[in-house]
Amino acid sequence: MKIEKNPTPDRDAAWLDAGLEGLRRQLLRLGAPVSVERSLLAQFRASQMGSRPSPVRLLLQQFLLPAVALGGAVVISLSFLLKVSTPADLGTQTAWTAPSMSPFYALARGEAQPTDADGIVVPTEVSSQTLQDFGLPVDPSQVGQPVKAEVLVGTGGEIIGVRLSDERDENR
Amino acid sequence: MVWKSKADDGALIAKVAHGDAKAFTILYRRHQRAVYAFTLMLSGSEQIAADATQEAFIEFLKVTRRFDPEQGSLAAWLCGVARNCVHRHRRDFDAPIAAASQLEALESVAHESVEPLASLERARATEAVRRALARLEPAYREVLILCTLQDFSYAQAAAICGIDADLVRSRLSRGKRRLAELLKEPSPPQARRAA
Repeated sequence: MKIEKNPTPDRDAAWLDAGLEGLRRQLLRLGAPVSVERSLLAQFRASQMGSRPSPVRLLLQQFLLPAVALGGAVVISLSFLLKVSTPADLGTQTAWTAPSMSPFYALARGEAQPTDADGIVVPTEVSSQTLQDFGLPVDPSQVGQPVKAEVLVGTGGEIIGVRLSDERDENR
Repeated sequence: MVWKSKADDGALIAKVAHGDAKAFTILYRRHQRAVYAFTLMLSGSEQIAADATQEAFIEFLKVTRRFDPEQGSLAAWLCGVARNCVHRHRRDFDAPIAAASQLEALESVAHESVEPLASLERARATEAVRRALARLEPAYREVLILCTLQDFSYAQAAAICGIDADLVRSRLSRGKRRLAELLKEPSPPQARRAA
């Protein structure tokens, strides 16, 4: 069926307006290919992995690093003295080399669980509230008290893990 | 619909800045239609439109922490970045573009109306305007797309195009007149142009 267009200004304007309105409706149904969203999300997640430290790492570095640095210096100094002055069979008996019962919690999102072999273990104390705030398990009997913990310091000096100390470690 | 609410975007942007992938997905889905549609109508190429949309959101991720929704809408910012991408992709930006073929598939929906005659007339008018828009000068075409087809304000369109609001008004007025003239001219054979 042929539709004739009567060339009057009103008709032309109506034709233009109808066409623009139709185009508006069509644009509302348009969208980028799904592949664009997938690609963007993949790039977003990749940019988050390991590029920003987790809140646990940030907080522990802020509050524990001074203590860790001091503790680490003491540890290293003492271990050196012990190795020089004590017989070889006694030189390895230090609290910070003996593994605790609980595993290390990795402080960087997505990283594998670290072990003692990944760095230097340094004993320290952390407030139980701090540990609870970041999802680490705390013995209910220790709420409100400082909790003995061990931080794992990597070869670059960064803190890569934390674990709660076993009470038996105190006596070693 | 162009999502222009700063309050709605602000909270999501803050979450994206803190690594919230879900918030980014919501923001993307909220704004991708406007960006894609604008770049498709601007370039006539689905490939360029997809690339420009992706580049715009990638640029957003680079500046998320510094982006202040109080300074302007995210939708307008994204379209501005995407527009620059289209410019880079098309060496001969002033040349006529192919009327986006993706829109042809959407026309079939119009024929399912209960009023087939009116529906057919609307579809013909839409097709005619689409082809005429593709032949319109880019400076007029982009403001027509932004203000008439996508509800951006004069100020937002000015920010997107890098001109002032008065020039947007002027180009809009002239663009509509030019579009009306093109509608009266016989349409040349539709040729596919390389992106």
